Order: sequence, then C-alpha cells, then structure tokens
Amino acid sequence: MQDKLTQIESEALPKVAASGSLSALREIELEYLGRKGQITQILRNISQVAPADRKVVGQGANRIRQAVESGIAERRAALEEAEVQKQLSDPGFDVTRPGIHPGRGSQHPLTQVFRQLESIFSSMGFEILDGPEVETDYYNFQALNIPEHHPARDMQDTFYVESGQVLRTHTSPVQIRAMKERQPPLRVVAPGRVFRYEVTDASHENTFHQIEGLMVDRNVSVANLTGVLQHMLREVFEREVRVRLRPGYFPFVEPGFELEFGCVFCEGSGCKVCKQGGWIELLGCGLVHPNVLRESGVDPEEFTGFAFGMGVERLAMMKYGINDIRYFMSGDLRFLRQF
Amino acid sequence: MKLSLNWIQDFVDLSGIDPQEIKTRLSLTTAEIEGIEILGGDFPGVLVAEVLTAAPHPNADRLRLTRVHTGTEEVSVVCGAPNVAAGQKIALATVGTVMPGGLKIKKAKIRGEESCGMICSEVELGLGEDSDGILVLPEDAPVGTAFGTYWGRDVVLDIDNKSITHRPDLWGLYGFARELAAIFERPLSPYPISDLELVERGEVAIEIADGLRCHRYLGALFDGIRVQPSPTWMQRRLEAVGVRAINNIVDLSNYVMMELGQPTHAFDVAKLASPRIIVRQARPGEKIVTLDGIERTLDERIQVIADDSGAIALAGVMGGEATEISEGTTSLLLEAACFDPIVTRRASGRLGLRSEAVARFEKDLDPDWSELAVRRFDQLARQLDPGVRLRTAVVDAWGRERPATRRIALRVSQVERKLGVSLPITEIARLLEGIAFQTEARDGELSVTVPSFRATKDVNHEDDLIEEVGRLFGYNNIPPQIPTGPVTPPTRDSVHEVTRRVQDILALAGGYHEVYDYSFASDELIAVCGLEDQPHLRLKNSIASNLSRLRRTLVPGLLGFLQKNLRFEREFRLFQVGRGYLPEHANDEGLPQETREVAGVWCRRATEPGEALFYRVKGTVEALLDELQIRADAVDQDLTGLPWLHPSRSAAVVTNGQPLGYLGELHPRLAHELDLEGEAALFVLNLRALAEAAGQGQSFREPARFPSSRLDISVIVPVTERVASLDHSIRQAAAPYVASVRLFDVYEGRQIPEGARSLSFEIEFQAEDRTLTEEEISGFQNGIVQALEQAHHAQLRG
Repeated sequence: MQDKLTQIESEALPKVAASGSLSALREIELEYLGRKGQITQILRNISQVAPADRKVVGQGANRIRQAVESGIAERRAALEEAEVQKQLSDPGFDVTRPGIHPGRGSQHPLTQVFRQLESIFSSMGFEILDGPEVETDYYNFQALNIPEHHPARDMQDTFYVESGQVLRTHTSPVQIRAMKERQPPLRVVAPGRVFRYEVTDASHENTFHQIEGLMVDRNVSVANLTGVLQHMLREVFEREVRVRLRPGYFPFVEPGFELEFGCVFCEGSGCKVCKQGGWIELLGCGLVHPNVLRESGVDPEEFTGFAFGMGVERLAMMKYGINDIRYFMSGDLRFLRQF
Repeated sequence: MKLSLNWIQDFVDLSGIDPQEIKTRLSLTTAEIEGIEILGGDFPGVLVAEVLTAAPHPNADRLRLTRVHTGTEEVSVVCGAPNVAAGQKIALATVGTVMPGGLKIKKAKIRGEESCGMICSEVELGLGEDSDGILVLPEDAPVGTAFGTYWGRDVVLDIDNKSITHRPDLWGLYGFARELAAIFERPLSPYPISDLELVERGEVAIEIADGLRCHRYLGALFDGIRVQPSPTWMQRRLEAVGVRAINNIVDLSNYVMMELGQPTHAFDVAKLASPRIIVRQARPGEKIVTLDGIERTLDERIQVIADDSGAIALAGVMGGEATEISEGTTSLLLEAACFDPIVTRRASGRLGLRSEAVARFEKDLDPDWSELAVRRFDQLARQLDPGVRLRTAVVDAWGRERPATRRIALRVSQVERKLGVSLPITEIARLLEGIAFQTEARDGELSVTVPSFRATKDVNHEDDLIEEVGRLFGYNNIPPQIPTGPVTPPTRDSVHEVTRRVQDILALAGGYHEVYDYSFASDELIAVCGLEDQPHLRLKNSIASNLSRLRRTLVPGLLGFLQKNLRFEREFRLFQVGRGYLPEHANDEGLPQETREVAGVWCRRATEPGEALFYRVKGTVEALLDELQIRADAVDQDLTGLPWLHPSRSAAVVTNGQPLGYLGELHPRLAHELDLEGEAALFVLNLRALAEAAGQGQSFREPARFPSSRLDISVIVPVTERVASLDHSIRQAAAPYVASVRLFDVYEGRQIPEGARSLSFEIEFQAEDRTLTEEEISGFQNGIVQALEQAHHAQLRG
C-alpha cells in the first residue's frame, strides 16, 4: 500500500501538470479521484490494511488526495483561462464584414412626411379626414367660389372623367365636405392625392399630394393662420423658422396668401434651394371666403376660418434634397431604399 | 406681364429706390414677381457713330468695307451685315471693347482689308433677338456719344399673371403705378388724356344687338393717318414689355393696352363696307379670316363685330384681316369696347385662340376704360403726328346700364377680428384712399366707395376691403398667434389607422418597400392582366393615349414595377396602399366607388433558389393579420375573376365568411407577357375590410398551469391531401386536448412513392386540470394515426 501510494504520488501530479485540455484533466481526475479512482480505492479499502499501518496509510492517502485535488483545481483554472484566452485571440475574426440583415423594408418618403405632418396637426387638435379623388365639379370648383368660365379654372389644368366628374385638382373640396358634415368650431387636415393635367418635368407632376388644413371658429384670424403654420414649420425643420405672407389669389379664400418661410438651408443668405432669394414659397392659404362658408352652411357673420393647401412633394424634396419630383412615382428601389 | 420701370415713372417718381426694393415690396403687397431684368447698360467702348461710305469688299462677296466716323476720328470697318449703308447712325464697338458675349474686339485684317471695330447688331449688344442685320439708330442719334448713355437703361419686372387673375386693374402699367405710389407714399400723376366729346350717334352708326352681352362700345374716326414706324422711344418701351413693334397705329393701340389695360382695335375705314358697325352673335357657319391669316368658322355663341358685308372682327378676341391697317391707310375707326368676360372667354376657348385682348377682357374690365382708352389714343396720336385729327365726335353705345357706384360698409371691429391686429379707423381710411377708394367715417364704420376699376368683380364685400387694408398695412406686421380656445380631441378614422399599421408592419417587419404609383392604368398592363372587359373610369383628356383609364386595382401598376427593378435586384418585395376606382358602383353623387387596397408583391430572379413564393406572401399575410388580431383563413376558392393569378397556386383570404382579399403566385403566362426574368407572388387586401375585422377576439388567456406534452408524427399522404384538413383531423381525433399542431417538415423524393409526400407534424397536448399521462398520450397517438389513415390515406412513416 505504501508503495502504491508512493507511486501515485510520483505519477499523479506530473500527469495533472502535463494535461493539455479540460477533457484530459477530467480523465485524470476520474483515474485517481473518481468512484473507482486509485486514491478512492485505497481510502475505501483502508479496513484491509494492517491496523498498525492504517493510520499512516490513511493520513498519506488523504494528503495525496488533497494534493491531487488542489493540483487538478489549479490546473483546471489554468486550462479554463487558457480556453478563454484562446477565444479572445482570434486574428481571423473580421469585424468589418457586413452584418446579417433581418430584411429591412422602407416607407415611402411621402408617407414619412405625411406622418410627420399628421402628428404635428393632431397635436394641435386637428382631425384627419379624407375625401374622394374623383370629385364632382361642384365640390372641386363651384362650392369653392370658382363658377364655370372663371379664369381661375385655367390655373388648374383639370383631368375630366367621361361621366362628367373631375380628378380633384386640390384637396380643398374636403373643406366643403367637412363643413357640411360637421358643425364648427372645427379643425381638420386632409392629406391626399391630387391631379393636374400637365406635362411632367423635374418639378411638375400630373399626380401629386397635398395636405389641406381648415380651422373654423368664432374669431379665427390671419395671425392664427401664421401662428399655426409657423409652428408646423418649426416642428418639421426642428428649429425656429420665420414666415411671411404675400398676397396670392385663390378664389376660395379672402384674403388669400402665398406663405413663404425664411430659407432654413442658408439662413437667408441665398442658396440654390431658395433661388438666392432667402425665402421659400411653400403654400397657398387664406381666410375662408364668406361665399364658401355660406355655401357650406356656416354663417360668416358668426364664424371665420383659415385654410391652407400644401404640396407634400415640395416639402419632401426640400427635406431630403431630392432634385426631381418624378422619383416619387418611379417605383425604383434605388430611390426607395434610401428612406 | 412685364413692367418697365422707366415707363411706370411717367406716372410715379421712383427715384432713389433700389429696384430690388421695388420688387420685394411689390411682391409682398400686390403681385408675385417672377424675375427682374436689366435692359441696356453701360456698354463701355461702344459709341454712336455714322457710316460715311459703304462699298463692296474687294476680296469677299458677302462683306462690305465701310468708313465710319466716331465723332473724333474716321476708321475703316469690315462689316458682314447686308443692311449697312452710308448715312446710317450705328453702334460701333471700338478696338478693345469686350462684348456682352465675351468677344474682344481687336484691330484686324479681314481678307486683306483693315478693320478697326465692329458695327453691332441687337443680339451682339444683348438688346434683343434681331440678328438679321446691324442695329440702325434714328437719324438724330448724336455721333460720338457713348452708346450706353444714348440708349439708356431700364429695369423690367416680370409679373406672374396667375397672381393678378382677380385684378383687372393690374393688366396695365398704370395700375401698378397706383400700387407703387401707395406703397412708397409718393404722388400718382393723373392718367394723361385729351378732352373729347361723346355722342350717341355720329357719322358712324354703332349698334349693339338686342339682348347681347356687350357692355359698351366706342367708335372714333380718325383722319390724317400716315402709317409708318413708331418713334424709337415707343418701340423701345413696347419691346421692353414684350410687344413687337409693327407700325405706328398698331403700336399705339398696343401702347394704350399695355399702359391702361384696355385693348382697342383699329379698322381701316376704306375697307369697311358700310359706316355702320354692329356687335352681334355670329351666324352659324359664318366665316372670318383673322389677323393671323387663319380662316375661322363661327357659331352663334361667338360675338362678332360686323359691317354690312359680314363679320370684320371677333369681339374681344382678334381683328379681321380684311379691314386691317396697312401702309395705305389714311383713316381709321378706333374701337374701344367693354366686352363680356364670359362671352369672350368662351369664344376664345371654342376657337382655341388666346390673345392679349382675351387675357384682359376675361378679367372683367371697367366700362369707363373704353372711354379713357380712346382719349389716351387721341392724345398720343396727335402728340406723335399733329396731322392726325378726329373727324367727328366719338360715338358711344351702351349695351346695358352704366353700373352704379358701389359702396361697402367696413366695420373696424371686423378688420381686427379677421387680421388679428387692431388698427385705428384713420389708418384704415388712409390705406384705402392710397389706392383710390373713398371713405367716410361714422360710428366705428367706414362707408367705402369702390373705384370703378375695382368694382367689376374684384371688390364686392367687406372681406375684400379687409384684404386691401391687410396687404397695404403689411401682413408681416401682424404677429403670428397660436389659436386659443377649446379643442375637441380629434376622432380617429379606422381605415386611416389600419392603413398606418399595415404600412408599419410591411415596411418594418415584412421587409417590403413602399411604392407610390399613378392612378392611371396603361392599356398595355390592363390587357396583360386580362382586365380589358372590366369597366374602367375613362378620362376625357389624358396625358397619353394609352393612359385614358383609371385603375380598378393596384395590381397592374405594381406588376409594371417588377422587371425594371429585377435588373438591379435578385429578390425584392414591394407594397403599395392606394385606391381603385369602380365606375359600376356609383354613389348618390354619381361618384365611382373608390376602394382602399394594400397590395404587395414578392419577386425574385428565376435563377434564385427558394421556397415557393406562394408561401412567402402567405407568410406575410399571416403575420400581418396576426399583428392586426384578425383570424382569417386562406381558402381554395374560385378566383377566375383575377386572371393574373396562378389558378392552383392562389387562395382567397376570408374572415368569418367575409372576404378580406386574396394571394397567389403570378400566372406564368403573365410573367411571360411582362418579359419578367423571374417569378412573383402577390397579395391584395381590402383596407376597409381589415379595419372592420381588426382587433376582434383580443383577450387574455391564462397560460396553462400543467406541463404540456409533445409528439412528432410523420405520415406519407397523397399529394392531393391538404394540410388544413389533416390539421383538422388531428385536432378532432384528440379533442379537446390538442393545444397546437405545427407542420415542421414536408418531404418528397427518395423513399417516398411517386404522387405522395411526407408530412411531419409536431403536436402539443394539454389538459387544463392535470398533467396528461403517457398512457393518455399514446392513446391520442393511436387515435390520430387511425384517423389519418382512414380519412387521408395516410401511412405512418417509420
């Protein structure tokens, strides 16, 4: 027994020290300390040792067991550390390789601009409405104070449907529909598609999008109109924006304006976007014409209102620096993927 | 319309004001200005000179050799223009001059002859478009003067005509002079006119036919006419505002029109068949050759000016060739009339003939202007040629009553209410009087008299006056103000909401790219999709002959996007939300039904491997419906009305018996006709139906308390057996303990007989009140296998 122990003592620790992997170490552990391991066997069979030697053998075996155990623990810690170090040292791993995409899609830039506008106006209590794209002459023109033979009809080259209706030339018919269906006070915006019978080029489309705004209440003024639109622009461009009104003629408002805002790209010093003028024309607006209020069943003595109609493509083009309006309808993924 | 600031300064002194300032203030107060143009300039190095001799160049047929006097010296100049002649006053670019185009003039020998300078054409000086020959100056041009000093300088503002559609008074320079006088607070000169006597009947008889819509017609007979070019200053002004000079009579008429805004027309008296002029409806089929040389056939909705022989002019539109002023004209009849705006506009539309006159009459002119125009014409004509004289008093015919003076009450309180700024009544009065309104104050109100030239249709009620006050006060002096007052929380439109969610799900989770497409469907795509027989909304006027129909569905347009993207992409997904137009379902207003659709397509090159695309789009639709909490099934229904679908690889999407839409692979024939080098599958869902179905059955179920058990079963079944019915049988066989059935493998090929396939299901069993025992599970297994064998010819796979 003594000899056996001596042999174990001389063999085991060098073996532990020489083990090259955690699995090899586990083998060694089992060989000496496992259920049928050599040291375990000695300790288990201690009763067969002569009583005189029993104490010495027992103490020796326990000492060797502790030595092997701690040797293995130490070696295990070293091997584990080496394993971690090995994982950490991986010169072939290339962090510059492209990531694996989950397959991203995109929302159309106009959808994105519409969303932003809708949320800005919603936060000011405006309800979002829509209306038909194929409209009657009445809603598209007559109710908006544009009778037949009015020269203003030339301003909006119109697509006519064979059955006598028109493709709406603006979102303004929704003003009338809103006022006829609801009682003032009201605040609505109507995003939507409009059509003009005209030749397309980099800045003209026969199909484009507008957002119409209408607010009717007891004392709505020009100051309110500029207040609301200035707030909108501040939100869209995320900074203070100056606005100004120029007289503009639209038969359904009186007075009518073109709203301009101080160029946010050059801070007014003149650039390509504002054509060196420092101001960018954005939309047509005004106070709702009394004839239009009356036609919609609203008493112009009691109520006043403002309305505006803004081209969404124009805003998107400015926001993203898009130089040709025709991209929006191109269905070209090289364009769409950028949004 | 163009404004010459030199011309405007006949009426208001703008000295000391920068043209840019004029442009800005005018555009903020009155009308949109598209551009500003500087005419003339300094022309350093260019002199007024005289041609002394002009002889053929000895060595070149097309060149001429001239001697030119510059005021200080005599030089030789070779000139290529055919119209150069001795005695002419010309513009000479001397040696060293750099022309506007960048050309530097050098002393040179041209074909052996010395040339010291260049005789300039209009184009070379940047003054016009006439490059036919050199610019010949009037005889009185002072030789030796710097050309820039002689020619002068003008600033021209280009007005956007759309912005003055409602302002007949701004279709002449004098109207703008009035605005500028008010803006810069400078005095406005009265309009210069002569004194004339007006009579109802004179040597010329003028009749306006009964019931005709023609407000007023003045005729004035002038004798002593000599037709010749107009003076340079007049030509120069007309050219500055974009009117070509023709002869002194036509120029004079145009000059008055550009200045006042009132068109006039001159007839050659010698060419009139009678001294009687009638304004009447055209007779059906009546013909006239207009000044542009085109014969036009008329109808009774067009008004004409006629003498006894027939129509001699189209009222308000264009004169006739037969009575045109020509070189031999010695007497003329000047027409200055106030034609009806609608009649003029309609005639112009019917004849497809626009003119400067139409552009003005259709705006509704002041009847007083007819008279002003005759008096201005008379004054100018005599100033230019003292030989001109009016033969008799001017005949003045009215087709209706002279309009009454318009007075409008303007409440100061309304000004504040509408503009959002408080103005004293005296300030309001001052602003209005600046543009020729008269005011009288009483009790917080102004009684405002509208000048006749603003009263035709522009200024009718109080709001119109508030607009005048606002713009003259300056809208930009009104501080912006966020509206206050109660706000009702906006209600949300369910279709709009569901559309947003669908866009989010498809783009953000589904990997689809959103496209926008035109509402027009091309004939080609309609034909390819087999929609030829379906009713389409048709346009009367389309941008192209193949785009005269509106789409019924988003599908054709979406298919049109496939091949062009396939050139750059191996595989991609697109979707669109939009409307289809169904003329067969018209509403009370006669409007077609507008459907709300979302359509998506998954497309890949033929060379790309992968699952059948049907299952791709089906997965998309399932995920979408799941997210919207809609329980729906894809069912095998007859979809022959949708000929773009693969007949056996397509299915209807149904919830509670209500259709939501459909999905399927593209019919292989269509792929061929679209020249698609790939395959595609698509889905279409109705957004209104989605909005109605969304959110149904959304309630919490407590997770099971006891563990569930799982079992895998693989069976071999004929390929005609459907997974949905196997699923159903499995659930039936072990009801109510089947918690889920998941198909995890489909296999055809080796070891599986022809015409059959292997399906592998993972089945989860669950009881609510206990843990199921192994015996129970094995009982379920036997029951399921038996059911599959009996109902589906299934064979358990080892």
